[in-house]
Amino acid sequence: MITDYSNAPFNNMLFKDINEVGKQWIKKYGLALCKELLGTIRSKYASLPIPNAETTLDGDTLRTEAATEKEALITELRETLEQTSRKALLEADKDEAEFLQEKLSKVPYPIYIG
Amino acid sequence: MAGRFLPQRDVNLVTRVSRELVGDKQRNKDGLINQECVVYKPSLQESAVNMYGEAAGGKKVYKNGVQMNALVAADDFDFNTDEFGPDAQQNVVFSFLRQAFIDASMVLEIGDLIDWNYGYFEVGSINENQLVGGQFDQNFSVVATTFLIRKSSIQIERVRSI
Repeated sequence: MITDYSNAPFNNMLFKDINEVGKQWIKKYGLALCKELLGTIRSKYASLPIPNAETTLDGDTLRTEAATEKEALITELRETLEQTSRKALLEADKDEAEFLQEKLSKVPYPIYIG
Repeated sequence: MAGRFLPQRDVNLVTRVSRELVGDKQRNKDGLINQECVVYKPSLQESAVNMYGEAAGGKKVYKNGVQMNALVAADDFDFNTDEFGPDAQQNVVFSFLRQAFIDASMVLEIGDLIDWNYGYFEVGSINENQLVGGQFDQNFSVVATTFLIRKSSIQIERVRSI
């Protein structure tokens, strides 16, 4: 069981062993990388000649979009990892225990008949 | 021959993008813009000429048309009205991808006809001066400036006229 960074296996992971959430993240990041590469290719020529005119390519737009998406995905990953850290899990346990105690304190005492 | 800073791959990219935009009739692929026209070349064998080698009485005979894709820039119609009625005039610029003519084994020349928008336009001038990367062997486009002509002066459609 992986609880935090200390026991996370940092060896080469197989894609098939990654859970669905992780696979979705990888696919989104892969899409952003493809956009960045396509943007780089299309940025080589800002405008291309067509008969008697010129057309502009969207390389810069693609690169900007890719950079934004990559940053958002990294932020999302970092937040997800922080939510599952040892400290965050202990804090969640603490909150749960405190709420339970508060709830139990409001349970009426049984009537003692001596 | 491609230049040092313009390799053949880049030239092919330019051609491919243009085909995607304009269309590629020779390969039967529609383009994004996809403006179509038909180019007719005069048949020198079938056209009757006078002693000066001119088409007698303006009765030129044309060969079968070839469908082409082009970027079309049409001016507004201009009507001259006289005692015979209104006379429509229009100038249109057809911009072809030069490779499309090479694929069709055809050369556009002054005097050819272009059928577009239910009208026939005669090529008045041709400009082939779009050099990709400044290379004269990468001549890229054929720009034909044309003017509207009467259908009765050509032998392509049967029309009622005097």
